[in-house]
Amino acid sequence: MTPSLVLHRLTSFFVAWDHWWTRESYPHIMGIIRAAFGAWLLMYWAIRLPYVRILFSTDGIVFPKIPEYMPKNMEWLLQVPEPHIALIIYSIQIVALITLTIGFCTRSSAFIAFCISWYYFYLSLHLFHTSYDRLYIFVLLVLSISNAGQYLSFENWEKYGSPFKWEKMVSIFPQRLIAFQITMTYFGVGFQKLWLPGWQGGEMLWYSMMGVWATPLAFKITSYGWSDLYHVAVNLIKIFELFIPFSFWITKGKVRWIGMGSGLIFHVLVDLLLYIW
Amino acid sequence: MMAPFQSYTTTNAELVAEGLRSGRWERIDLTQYLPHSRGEIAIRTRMSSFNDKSPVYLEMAKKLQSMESANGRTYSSVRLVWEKWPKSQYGFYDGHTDTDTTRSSVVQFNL
Repeated sequence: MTPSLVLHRLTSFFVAWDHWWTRESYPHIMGIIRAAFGAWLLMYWAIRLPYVRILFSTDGIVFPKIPEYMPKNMEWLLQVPEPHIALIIYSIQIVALITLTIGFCTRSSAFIAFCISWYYFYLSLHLFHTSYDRLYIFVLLVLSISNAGQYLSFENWEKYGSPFKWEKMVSIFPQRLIAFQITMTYFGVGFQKLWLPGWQGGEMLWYSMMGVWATPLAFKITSYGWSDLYHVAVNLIKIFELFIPFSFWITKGKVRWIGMGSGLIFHVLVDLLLYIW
Repeated sequence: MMAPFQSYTTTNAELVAEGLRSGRWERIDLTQYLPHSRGEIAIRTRMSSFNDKSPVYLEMAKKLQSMESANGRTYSSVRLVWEKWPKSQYGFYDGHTDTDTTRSSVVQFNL
């Protein structure tokens, strides 16, 4: 192995690496992600409208957490606002999510929604140690640097006469970032279950279905009593959570779609039994 | 990597707020101030993000006293208590009996 051969191989590797992360791609996937994710977040925040005052203002029991990296002279940003200020901030969030969903001033909308979501996290949502909010904030940040408005957008409708018409190829980098984050989320959550003592038996599921998150359906199932099927279910969860992150990247056959379908079934069950969504 | 449901417990717990009026402790309905599901209320009352929870719970008790007063219920004192009871396969509160439920004091705010 000569030095020039090593250099050649390294160069080839980094060219392939760069190509994988930043090559040009069709704008359709990011456009669909933007519209679907925007609509989801819009629903997620819109249902909070009746509770904005008690969740995010001095009218409620709100305890912000000042992050360690925040300079002292900026801590006023996380003072619990008066109800009318809280409503103004909330309204800006809803407008930003509407414009993000329809693809109008996409990057600015995503950035505004990212900033406000980040603010809400430290104002109130930090109490949820593990929640989808962190993923939502990350995806909003990625959308704010993407060309997700190049397809299925109001901007394209204005430019080309139809939201489905498109002209420019876009960098695949934002799509890779989101895909990699989702992969690592499932992988981390699934991998740690291999050694966590709580996940070595069906009791994990049995007792979780009687806990604070349990739905009436969960209690209907537990009322039938203990069964070894809980052991089976826990092991199936572990298998799928490890299979899903790898399946996203396998384009052979229907593996990718089986992975996504399994993920969908898993999350629907989590919502039906534990009301977590 | 932080993930939910890393372990399980065999008991359920709930933060209970009570107000003292005319010599009797009355339960304060926290669902007026903490909306959505039981799970969300449980997480919001655990204050897991705070290393030192005492000042936060004291502030919560003060806030509850003030908000209840604004709603026409004046208490001379508000206390927060953790109630814990064994889980039941038949319902969230099915194991919540006088004999099986333990109470541990969190904080008391006196006006």
